[in-house]
Amino acid sequence: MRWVALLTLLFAMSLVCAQTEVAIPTPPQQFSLPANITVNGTIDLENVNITFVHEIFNPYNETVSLYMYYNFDGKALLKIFLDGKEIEPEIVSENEYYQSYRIELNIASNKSVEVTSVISYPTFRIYRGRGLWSNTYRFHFPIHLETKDFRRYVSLYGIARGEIKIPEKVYKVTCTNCRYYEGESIIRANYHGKNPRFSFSFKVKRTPYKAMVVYLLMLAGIFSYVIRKRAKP
Amino acid sequence: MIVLHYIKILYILRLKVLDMISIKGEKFLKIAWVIFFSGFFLGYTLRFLDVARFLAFGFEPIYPIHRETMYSMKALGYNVELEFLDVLRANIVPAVTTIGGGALLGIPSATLLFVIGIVSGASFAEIVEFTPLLMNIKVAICLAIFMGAMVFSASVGFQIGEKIYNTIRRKEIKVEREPYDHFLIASVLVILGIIIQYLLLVRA
Repeated sequence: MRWVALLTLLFAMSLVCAQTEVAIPTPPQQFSLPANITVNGTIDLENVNITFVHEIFNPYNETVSLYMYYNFDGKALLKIFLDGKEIEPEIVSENEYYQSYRIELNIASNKSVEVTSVISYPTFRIYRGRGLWSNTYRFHFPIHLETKDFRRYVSLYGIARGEIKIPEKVYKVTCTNCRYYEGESIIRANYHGKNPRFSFSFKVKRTPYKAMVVYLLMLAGIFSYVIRKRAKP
Repeated sequence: MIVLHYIKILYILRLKVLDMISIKGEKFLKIAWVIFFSGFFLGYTLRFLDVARFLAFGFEPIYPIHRETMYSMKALGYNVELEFLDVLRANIVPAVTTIGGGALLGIPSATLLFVIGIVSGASFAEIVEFTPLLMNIKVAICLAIFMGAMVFSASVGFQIGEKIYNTIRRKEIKVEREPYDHFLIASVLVILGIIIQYLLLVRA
């Protein structure tokens, strides 16, 4: 009996030791930063010209190192000013269909930085399922932040405000965290909260003249054939 | 006078070729044209009216011209490099499948021809509207050759189906000249289509 008890005790102790040896590492901490984002610009049928101003504050007791990423579908012209000085972004990936850039931000404890991004890119490109009778345009923030280590997404909280002029004859305007002023053809945003950003989409009517001509020619051929065959069955 | 003489020779040659390959009055060829054009008109109408906006996608193995055009235009999402082998594959597969479908009494041949018609119609509407005039002309040439190849392939398929049906019914095999002629024409058009598509759309 004594031997059984001793063996059981040894077995239990080995289990406890095995569990303490396999320690789960503490995951890195997530964090978010307060920020004010201002967006101004114009969108017309050819180009999008937008200026983003990010004021990011570091409330922590240590310096925060981040990457600010810019992602575009297609060719974009980009100028970035960090606290008033122009800096050259680092190219992450670049081809004719997709461009990704980034800049490095080191924000000291209890300090803030201001990043001004002046962006210009074409409005429409040929893409899957493009409508013949309308063009759909979707706008969303092409900028996001990630930490330098572990590539974690950095969330922001604060204000996103802005004013973007869009073309006049638009319809089916949908806005997320913003509002469309039809009389002025302006999208205005003033969003307070977590992950401050806004997005919208709108459609612009068009007439597919070239496709219509071909269609009418086909219809004319069909109708003339039907009429001829009807005359001489 | 010399020009008129050459025009006369070409006209006589055309009549001789037509007589040789027995195009006139060929019922299966007419049926194939009707099936293809019905699908083409349907696909064009659906795409033109924005009823179905994604008809041209997902059918690249049987209709290559849309992908080649989007690749030539550097359209978003078509950044994969296209080679001669891709063009070869995408032209031979529909032709062989359409001919081979005749073994099942021509029903798969008719179905595939109709589907190709729909896809080509939808694709043509999109290409005509969103690409420059020069590209429209290139695509129209490629499409005309591809259309001819598919119609003649389907005609061969229908004739194979008819022969199988007659064999089952009457237990006899009687093959005329038309299937062989149409098979040769389809082969020539497929080869011509491959070369033209590669030169005008992929390499351009």
